[in-house]
Amino acid sequence: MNLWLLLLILAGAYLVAVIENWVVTGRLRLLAPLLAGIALLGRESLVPRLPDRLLFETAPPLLLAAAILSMAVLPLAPGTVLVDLATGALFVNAALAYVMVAVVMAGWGPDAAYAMIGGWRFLGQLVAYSMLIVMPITAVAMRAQSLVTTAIVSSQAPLPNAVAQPLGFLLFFLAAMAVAFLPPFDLPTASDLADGVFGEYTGARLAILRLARLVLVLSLATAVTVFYLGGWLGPLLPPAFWTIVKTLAVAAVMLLGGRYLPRTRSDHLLEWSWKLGIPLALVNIFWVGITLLVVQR
Amino acid sequence: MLEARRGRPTWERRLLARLLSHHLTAFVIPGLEVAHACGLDPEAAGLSPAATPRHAAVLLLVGEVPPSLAHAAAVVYAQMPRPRAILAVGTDSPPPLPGASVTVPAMQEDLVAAVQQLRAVMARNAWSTELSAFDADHAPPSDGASPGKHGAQTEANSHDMHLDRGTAGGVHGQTPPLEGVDKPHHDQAEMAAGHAMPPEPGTHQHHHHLMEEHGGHVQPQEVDHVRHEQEMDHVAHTSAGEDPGDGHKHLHHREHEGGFMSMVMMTQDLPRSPDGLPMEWLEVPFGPLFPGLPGGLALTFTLDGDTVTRASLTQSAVARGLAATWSGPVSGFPTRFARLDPLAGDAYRVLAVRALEAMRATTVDRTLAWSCIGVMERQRALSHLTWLASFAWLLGDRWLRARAISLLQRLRGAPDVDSVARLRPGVDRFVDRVRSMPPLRWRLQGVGGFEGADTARLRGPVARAAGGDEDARTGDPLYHDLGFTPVLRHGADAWSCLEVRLAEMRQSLDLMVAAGALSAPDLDTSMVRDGTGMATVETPRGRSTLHLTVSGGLVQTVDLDAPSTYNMELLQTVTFQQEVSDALVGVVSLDLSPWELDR
Amino acid sequence: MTVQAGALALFGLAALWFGMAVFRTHSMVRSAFSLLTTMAALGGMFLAMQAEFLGVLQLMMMATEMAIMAIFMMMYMMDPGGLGQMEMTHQKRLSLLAGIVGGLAGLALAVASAWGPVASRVPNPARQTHDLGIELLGRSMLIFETAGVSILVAMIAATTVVISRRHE
Repeated sequence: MNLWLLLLILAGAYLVAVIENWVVTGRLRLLAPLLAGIALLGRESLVPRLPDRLLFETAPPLLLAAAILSMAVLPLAPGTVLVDLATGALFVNAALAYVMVAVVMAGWGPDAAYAMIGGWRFLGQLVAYSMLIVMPITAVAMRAQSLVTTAIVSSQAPLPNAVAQPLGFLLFFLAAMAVAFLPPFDLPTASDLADGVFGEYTGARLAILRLARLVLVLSLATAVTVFYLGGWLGPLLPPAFWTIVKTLAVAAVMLLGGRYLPRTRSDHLLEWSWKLGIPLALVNIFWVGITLLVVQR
Repeated sequence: MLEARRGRPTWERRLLARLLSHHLTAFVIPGLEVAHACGLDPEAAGLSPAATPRHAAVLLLVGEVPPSLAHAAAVVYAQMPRPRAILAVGTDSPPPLPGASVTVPAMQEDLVAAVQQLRAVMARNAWSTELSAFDADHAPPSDGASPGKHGAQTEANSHDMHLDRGTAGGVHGQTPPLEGVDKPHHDQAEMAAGHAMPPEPGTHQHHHHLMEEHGGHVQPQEVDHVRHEQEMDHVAHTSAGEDPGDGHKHLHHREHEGGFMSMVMMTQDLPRSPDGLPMEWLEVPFGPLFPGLPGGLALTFTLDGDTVTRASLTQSAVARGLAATWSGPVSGFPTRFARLDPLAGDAYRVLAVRALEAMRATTVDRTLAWSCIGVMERQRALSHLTWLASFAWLLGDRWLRARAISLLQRLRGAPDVDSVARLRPGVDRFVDRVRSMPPLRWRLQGVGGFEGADTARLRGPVARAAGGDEDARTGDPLYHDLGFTPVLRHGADAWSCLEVRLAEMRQSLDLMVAAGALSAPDLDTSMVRDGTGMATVETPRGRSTLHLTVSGGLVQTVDLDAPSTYNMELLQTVTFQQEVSDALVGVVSLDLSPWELDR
Repeated sequence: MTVQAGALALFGLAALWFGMAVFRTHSMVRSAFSLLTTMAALGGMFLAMQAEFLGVLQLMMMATEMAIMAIFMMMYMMDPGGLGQMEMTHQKRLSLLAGIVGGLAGLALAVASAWGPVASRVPNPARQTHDLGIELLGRSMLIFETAGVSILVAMIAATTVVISRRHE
């Protein structure tokens, strides 16, 4: 069962790659990511001179592990979850914190200025998104009266959280894009920094990094689906199908949104998230609290 | 030839090679904007552009590659993982680069065919048992001055900035203050001394990535990464550190006092940032082959964290010694002169033609004048679109880049004035859409500002973005007849520069249609008298003046005043205390052409 | 039971090992990441002891904090990469003494205290989370509110001090 779920995660990541390819090139090519990935493995794996070898090598697997771990607690269907934790919603955040660790390692490890600046920028991005990733989950957990992810999905049976808590939905969606450093929040791997933290990796390590990023996007899309769009809930069709469809739709919107926007400035990102985002998240929690108390009565 | 990976070409490797050959990413030398200016579209030919040489498989050489840029290109080539190849389009592969795998003239169809050919070569030869190691030759440019300066220059030439010794600030020959602890530094210092005086220039061989990964285990060769490059960096940066007024000081050697060194004592010589904190400042090169910046622009930022405290430009990065080629027969002079700037060749051709025309015995030729206007405005529109494409790359705005490139291709391919007129509504919609997108405005407003600058010292769209009424076309009666008024804005930042260029693009299309001609007939140079001539035109980057003297049917002296030399003065203003990406946006908004800076 | 004891021992040893590595390495950045691994090992210990909420919280908080500390190392330390092999320790005698005294005191405390009987049954994690929440907002509300407000005040005060100094 667990193996199947892992394979499903990889398949999901593959589909996200297909969607990304479609967004970038405008053509739907099903085999393109696989071939590109294999081609990448065929290239030489270079190591820069004087890297911090431990950190350089640790960063790609750590990023992949963090992405897979954060995916592991999210349910595909009632009872179908890789790891069923009582604090599932919190664990997602714990795993996503290691994304930052991996990116900072990848910035420092290769001993290159552009990568290092990319790592620093991601720190600023973390300061911007970290509150906005957690606070909407708080509101969602309030409604579900539980941190268990399956309970969160079940609590949306009357109304999905995207409708019940639209503010939280918007903030979480944007914060999720920032965690996965998708355009317009792709500050650490910026094209104006010669691909930033990914710039010094080649060959197999780069393949792992790219795979990790795809799994990360998939995991965040699943998180949005589970927390806000009602997970597997839906008429007629089997639950797993609904989860998959919703997840891919969210991933498509995340990937599409960045095509038309320039990269955000890091100071703007910080300003908007702290001056606008956090007050709104607090308002969201307040609002949810009031409605719950009123409705409970 | 193709530089292959070491190994026997077994059947699975051959399959892999075929896959590899279908996914070719290219690193363009000197830059994508030069490729666009030559009328090429690498993306349409199947080569997706890479932001870093580590992700590139092909080194695409376009246009003219001057010797110093060739050295930088060699360093870039050495950083590319194998299998790697060189594709030369419209040029050949200059030393120290190895020979090109495929060479074709600069036409799009030829490029497409070349890519196919390259794919076939790569699919056949991606693995090979005989490894031809490419040693990027760090031969310094021809002047035999101090080796320290050479080191600094070649380091500035390299695309990739490696921090020596892994310390964030320890790059610049910051010898640690404790004696006796710096054994590795002693070795390096000795080797640096040994290599600081090369027997003759051009012998700095440094052994590149001869290491291959065999099943994940890295071979011991990579351990001997104590390379000559590194020593040269050491030399380079010590000498840079000793330059007076550099602002980038050494840590002073302190005597070893019982093992305890307080941070306050150690940092007391470091320069202070405006917030009072003593940090080590990094000198990071952003050029000459940095994707996003104009190719050939050898920029160096002194970074305090990720904020720029100082920006400087190395001007000889594209030294071509053109001045010598300009003197010669009058008849070919406009073409020779147009070599100055591959990004705005037609503009300089028109300038030369107008200067020669001023020396002709006959009256003013109205047809020639109108067609010069048509060519000039076409060049302006193309130049602004090319600039917009690379600006969009820097901003990470894919849609903007895609639309700019498609408009560029359509305008370039427009055969006559009517098709240009048909483009007008599309351009209108595009410009309106760009101007009305709030995220772009938020990104650019207030960035790269040059508010207090003296607009009399600026040229072109940069001057007009600051409200300076500086346009060589206002004095021209023909333009006046067409009802031309210069486009002015008052923001004096990156957004105003963008607005000015967009509006000028629209205006240029109208002027092209009104002028009714897209190409200039050849000037009849037989009527050119001896003497001096002068002409001023408004090139896409600003006003440019040319003074010529001709005697005996030969051009004797050429004196050119190019706009980028003026706008370059704003470099420090637009980058000071800006975050790196904002500083880069500011620099690109100035639209400096490193080719113009070389005379 | 033995699996749990084994996991506990493993995580404990890892925590000790990486804790030592913090001081043995010359690289400041590696030192910060070693500390992160120590903290993550502690989080693992919590999870092995079936304190799920605490474990997850420890993992989450420490990852972010230590990575930020790594960046501060890069910013402020002389030789964050450690290749200069600088001598970064000082007051060696005093710290050795303090370490030995503290270690003995900790051991004495662990051995000599009356910890009570080992719990034979632990409430399930969902119950634990619920109980923690009730505790936080019931009996311990005053403590946590005070702590939270104090931290907030400290943050605001620190920011104000820095800004006003910069305007001088």
